Amino acid sequence: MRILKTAAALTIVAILMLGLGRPWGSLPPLGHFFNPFTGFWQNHAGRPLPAELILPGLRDAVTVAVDGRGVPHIRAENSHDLYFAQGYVTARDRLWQMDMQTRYTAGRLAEVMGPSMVESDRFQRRLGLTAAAETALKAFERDPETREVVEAYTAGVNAYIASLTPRSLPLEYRLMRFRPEPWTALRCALLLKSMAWDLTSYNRDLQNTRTRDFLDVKTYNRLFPERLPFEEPVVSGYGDNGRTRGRTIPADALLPGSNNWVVAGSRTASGYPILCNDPHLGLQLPSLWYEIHLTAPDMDVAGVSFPGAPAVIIGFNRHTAWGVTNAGTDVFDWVQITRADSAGPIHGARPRREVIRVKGGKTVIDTVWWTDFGPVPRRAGEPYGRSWIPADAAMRWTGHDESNELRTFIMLNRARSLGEFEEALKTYVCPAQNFVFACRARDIAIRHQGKFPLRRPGTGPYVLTEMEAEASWRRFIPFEDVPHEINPDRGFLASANQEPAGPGYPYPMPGNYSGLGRARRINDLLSVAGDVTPEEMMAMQLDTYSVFAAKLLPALLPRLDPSRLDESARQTLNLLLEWDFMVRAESAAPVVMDAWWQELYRLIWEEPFGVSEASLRWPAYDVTLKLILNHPDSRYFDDRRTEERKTLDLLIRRSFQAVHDSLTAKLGLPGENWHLGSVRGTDIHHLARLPALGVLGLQTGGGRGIVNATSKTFGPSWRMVVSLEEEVKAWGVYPGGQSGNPGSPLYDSMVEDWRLGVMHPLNFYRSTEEALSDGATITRMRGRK
Amino acid sequence: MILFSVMLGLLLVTHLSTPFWWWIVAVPLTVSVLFRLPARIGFVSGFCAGALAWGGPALILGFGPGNLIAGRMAVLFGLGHAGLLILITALAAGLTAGLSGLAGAWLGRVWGGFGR
Repeated sequence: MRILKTAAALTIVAILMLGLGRPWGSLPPLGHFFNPFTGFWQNHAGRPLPAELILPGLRDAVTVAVDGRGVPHIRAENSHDLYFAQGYVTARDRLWQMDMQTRYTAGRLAEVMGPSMVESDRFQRRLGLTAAAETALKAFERDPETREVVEAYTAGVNAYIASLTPRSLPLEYRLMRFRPEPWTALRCALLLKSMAWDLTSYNRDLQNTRTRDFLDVKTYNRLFPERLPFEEPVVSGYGDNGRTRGRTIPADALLPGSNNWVVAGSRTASGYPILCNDPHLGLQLPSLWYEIHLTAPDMDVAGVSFPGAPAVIIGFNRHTAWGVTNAGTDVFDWVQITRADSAGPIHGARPRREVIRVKGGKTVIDTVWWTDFGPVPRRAGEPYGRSWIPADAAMRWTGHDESNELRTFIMLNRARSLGEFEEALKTYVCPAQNFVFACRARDIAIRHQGKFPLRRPGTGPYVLTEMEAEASWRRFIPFEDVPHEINPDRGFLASANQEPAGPGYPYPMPGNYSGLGRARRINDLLSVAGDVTPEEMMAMQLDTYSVFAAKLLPALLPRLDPSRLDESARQTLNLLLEWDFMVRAESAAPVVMDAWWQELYRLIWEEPFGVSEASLRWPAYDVTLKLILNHPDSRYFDDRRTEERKTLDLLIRRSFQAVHDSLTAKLGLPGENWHLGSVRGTDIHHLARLPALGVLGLQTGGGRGIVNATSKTFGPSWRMVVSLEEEVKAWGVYPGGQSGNPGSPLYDSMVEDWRLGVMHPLNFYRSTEEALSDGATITRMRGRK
Repeated sequence: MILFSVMLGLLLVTHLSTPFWWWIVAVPLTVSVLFRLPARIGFVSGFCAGALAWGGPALILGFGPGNLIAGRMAVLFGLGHAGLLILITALAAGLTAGLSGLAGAWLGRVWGGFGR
């Protein structure tokens, strides 16, 4: 009996041991995870950098002052130590994020997350992003300075990884049960390629081609004009000489974007230029950006960096400031390959073997065929693929070309003049960006910079034949000729992802450009502004005026006869009648307007195209708006499938009633529950989509086509205003915090200020003493004792 | 009381010097076997030592520098509040250590141990 009891008790203990020691589904082994000595409890907030730190690899002494917001101010004696320390402190705050973002790009998530990630990995590898990063690495190595910077940064990251103990392991490694492997220079390149892909991969060439073939030429040209109506080019100085060289398939107005602008000293209160930038990107925690201030004998720069890459990407130094928005210009074509046996080898193409290791599963081997144009992501007959990728077509993407964008940023970090700004941009390839620039010497400039193929007119938005591709990708627009403008008479320059140049620009430059909205509003506000102050610019970044609605609504309302609506629909209509076109969190009108427009747009185009927007392109919002404004009797409004003659008025009434019905069914009668902040709001998810680690349900205004382009999961990822006075002053905020540790108050410390539109003065300490007197904590780093 | 102190002391030393969680099983089990503890004493000392060894630090961290992480993990595990997480950490550690102490005590009777 005693033996039996003992055996039973021992069995229970053994089961406990096994149960607590093994993972359960997505849960980590609980014994290990809950152990307060080495488990998650150790990801607490009480781990500041020590006052002294010995980091083998450093050549001289380095001082790091961390200010109240967690921003490191690094002061080094040489550039090697500077980037070494940048790598170290960035990894200390953001290692897991750096690891995951580059693993994702390289197609190596299944290695740590298991079979569910195999398809994601396969897709990334089919895109050839690792090969692109390897090519970038070659370019880094060809330039001695870039090479040193990347190697030093890598060594710094690895110094941090080497110092990790079970106690200091970041939380997400515990949750996902893996450990960081050593960082490599390739990872830095992968991170930059992930951004390049993110910003240039929007491609609907397959749908565009289908749409062109589906419609007769006249209809096609009318509904898909070469240039968007209401355009407001970045650089308008090319005039309109009547030549139109390039067809632009207009962007979805849905496309996200960014703003930047710079006001010349002639229009500011201080007499010095003010530069503003708010790049709009997917919002995430830990944030995409990491603030940093880097000081070395030839360098004194601050701003935001990408965790995982050295240097400052958007920022300012003692002389100059710069900012970016996405160019949107088409630098990615599909080339239909004709020499392909179905699913077999492609003649003249090289196979690249991809080995996808899988945690808890069998290794997957995949072959990616590389043509002279680039890789072929999807083969004919493959079940695998995405609807926008044509089968047996090769990618021709500037991101695969050898280039060294890092060099541009290193040079921008220490640029002192307009000449040095231009010099830095000369080798910049991908992702193409609108760079704005200002300096204390009172020059302002904008450059739509990237490597742009000198296309045959009419190519770009469509799938190319091999011959077309060879002709279109032989030469590139020379640096001197890319759209740019310096010190304009109007005293300001701005970009918001719109058409880069006026109709007189001599080269075809098709792209996915933003329509009526942000660019118009920014230009309208700046053209009447005088004695501009930084505070006014901060307020302007929060502007929520909808230019699109202000043009659309006055055209719709007179066509809506209130007497034909029921009483409760008339209440909904009143919301719009009283609206001032400001898209505020606490306003219901934008919710109604947006839903109404979506429904009307669908009613107009669903019939002529017969299919969803996913397989054929529907005309751009701006084209539709122009039709409503200028051709209200257009035959496109009639549904030819039915006997009944449909007019624009009928569609407007039907769509309004439908939207009213669906909103009341979903939300009840109009009230607070109809407010934009509640209906849409903003969610900032953790990278692993764990709700406990995200900040969800933020009450926000703004939206698509609005200067404050905040939406559900997307928005101003960094807001910056720099006044280039005698002593440079800057302000900034991003929706996150400096620490990647969810256990730190600095994890999401700036989210609320970002939501409210509060910006923080960016400390630009001139000395360690200044940092100390400001309450910063100081760490002295050395190579040896 | 002495054996409870021995268990607690051993738990703290082993946990602080190694990253392994399973001392919460090994220590009470071994101590109970070696000292041939009566079943009740084995369980109670194990429970108290385990609950204190894990619950104590969890409490100090949970209401100190670890309050944010505890709060987030409480949400992640559907517990809602950090206090509950601390309580569950203490109880789970106590039960695990207590059962280990009980099994050790019974094993000690069967095997003999150092005798009394």
